[in-house]
Amino acid sequence: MIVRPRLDDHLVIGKYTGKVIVGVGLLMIIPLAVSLGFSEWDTAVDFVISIAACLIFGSGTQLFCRTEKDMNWSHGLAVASGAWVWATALGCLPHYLSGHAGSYLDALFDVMSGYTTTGLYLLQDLDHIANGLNMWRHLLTYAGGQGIVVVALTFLFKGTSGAYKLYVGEGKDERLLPNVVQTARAIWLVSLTWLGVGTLALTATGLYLGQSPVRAFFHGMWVFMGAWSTGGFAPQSFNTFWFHSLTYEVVCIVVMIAGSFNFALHWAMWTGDRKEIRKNIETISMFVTLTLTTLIATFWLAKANVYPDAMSLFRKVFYQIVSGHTTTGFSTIYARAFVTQWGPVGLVAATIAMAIGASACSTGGGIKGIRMGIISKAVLQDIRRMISPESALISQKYHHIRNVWLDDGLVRTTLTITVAYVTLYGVATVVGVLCGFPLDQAAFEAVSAASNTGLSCGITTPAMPAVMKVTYILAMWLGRLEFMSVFALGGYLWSVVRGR
Amino acid sequence: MANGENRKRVAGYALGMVHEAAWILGMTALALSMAFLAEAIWR
Repeated sequence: MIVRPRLDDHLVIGKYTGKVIVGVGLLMIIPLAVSLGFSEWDTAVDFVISIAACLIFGSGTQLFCRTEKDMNWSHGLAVASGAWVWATALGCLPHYLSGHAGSYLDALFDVMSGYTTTGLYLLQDLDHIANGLNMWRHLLTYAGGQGIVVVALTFLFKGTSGAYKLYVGEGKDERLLPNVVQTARAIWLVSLTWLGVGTLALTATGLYLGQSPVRAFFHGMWVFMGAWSTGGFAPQSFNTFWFHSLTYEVVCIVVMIAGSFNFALHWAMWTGDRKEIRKNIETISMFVTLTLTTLIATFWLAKANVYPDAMSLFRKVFYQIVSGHTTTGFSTIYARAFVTQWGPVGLVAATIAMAIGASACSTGGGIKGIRMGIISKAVLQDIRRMISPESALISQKYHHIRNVWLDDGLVRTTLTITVAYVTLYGVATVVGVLCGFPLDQAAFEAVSAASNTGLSCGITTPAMPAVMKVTYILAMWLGRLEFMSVFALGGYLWSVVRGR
Repeated sequence: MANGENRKRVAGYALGMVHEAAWILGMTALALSMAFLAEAIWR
C-alpha cells in the first residue's frame, strides 16, 4: 500500500526547498554587482527582479511551511531534486529577461545546462551578452559543480541531521569530515583555493596574450569556472578555441582533470595521503580509459592525415578527449568538425569518453570511473571464480581512500546505476534519431547531454525541435542527480496522487 | 603553536595541490608522446 504523505511531510519539503532557493537568490547578488560595476543598467534591473522573485518564493515558502520536524531519507531526496527544478525555473529569469534566449524553454535549457555542469547552450549572440549575465552563467555552473544544495549547506544550514540526506540526494555520498556541513565547507575550501590559483594562471596567460587587465581577469575567472566545474561554458561562442594559446589549453587541461577528481581524493591528497592518487580506483580507471580513447582517436586522426603534425594532433585530440572524459565540454575545434574531420571512429572515441565520464563526488557527470572500476573488478572476480576449484573462496577488493571488499550488493547497485545511464543515453539518442538526425550524431549529442558534458557536433541550436530540448533538459537533470533522488521525487508525487 | 600548526596545514594543502597538478601534467606528457608515436608510425 502506498502511504499518502501527511501535511508535515509537505511542510518539511517546502521549508528546505525554500532555503535552497533563498541561496540561489543570494548568489545572484554577485552578477548584480558585476552589472553595476560595468554600468549595465538593464541587466542590473533583470537581476533585481530575479533576486526579488527568488527571495519572495524562498522566504514565502519557509514562512508558509514552518515545522520543527527533521528530514527523513525520502524528504531529503525529494528536496534535492525538487530544489533543482525550482532553482532552474527561477534562476533562468535573468536569461529570459535579457532577450538573448529565444523562449522561456531556451532559458530553462541553458540554466539546467549550467547547474548540471553540462555546457550546452541555446543563448543567441553569446559574444555580445552583458558581463553580468556572463558572470551569472559561469557562477551557476561553478555553484552547480559543487552542488546547489552544498551551497545552501555551507552558508544557510546550522547543522542538522537531515542535511546529510540532502547532500546524498544531490549525488554526493562521501563524507570528507565527520560532519556533513564541515564536509560541504571542505569542498568549498578545495574549490575556492583552486579558483584563486587557476584564475591567476589564466589571467596571467590572458595578459601575456595581450588582453586588457580587466578582460584578462574576467575571462580567466570564467574559463576557470567552466573548466573546474566541468561545465564547459566560456564567454565566447568559439569557446576556448577563441584564445588560440597552447598555455591556455594546458592550464585548462590541468583544471578540467583536477575538477573531475573526487573531492575525497582532493582532501586525501591535501591532508597528507599523497599516494592516494596512484592507488585510487578512480584515477586508475581514468588513466586506462583516457589513454585508450586518446590512443584510438590519435591513431585514427593521424592515419586520416587530419592534422599537419604531432603537436597539432596532440593539441586537438587530447584536449577534446580530456574535455569529453572529464565531462567539461570545452572545445578547440568547430562543432561540425567532429563530423566532417573526426569521422565515425573519432566520434565514437569521444562518445565513449563522455559516456564513462568523471569521478563520483566530483563536479563531473557520466557513469563515473569508480563504477567502471568496480565492474571491471567484478568481471575479473568472476573469471577467477570460473578457473578456480569449486571450493576456492574468491574475494576481490578495490582501493578508494581505503580498501573496500567487493560484495554482490555493491556490484548490483553499481550495475543498476550503470544500466540506468546506458538506458538514458539510449532513450535520448532515439529521440534525436526520430527528429531526423543520423544515429552517430544523435548518440554523440545525447550522451553529451546525459553525461553532463556539453560537447556538441552541431545538433544543439535554438532551431532544435522542442521535444529534443525537453528531452535533453530531463537527461541533464537525471544524469546529474544520478537518478535516485529524481525517482524519489516521482515516487513522492505519485504517493500524493495515489496514496491512502 | 596554533600558528605553526596552521602553517603546516596550509603547506600540506599546497603540496597536495602541486602533487595533483604534477600527476595531471604527467598524463599530458604521455598523450604528447602518443601523438609523436602516431606520427612516426603513420607518416
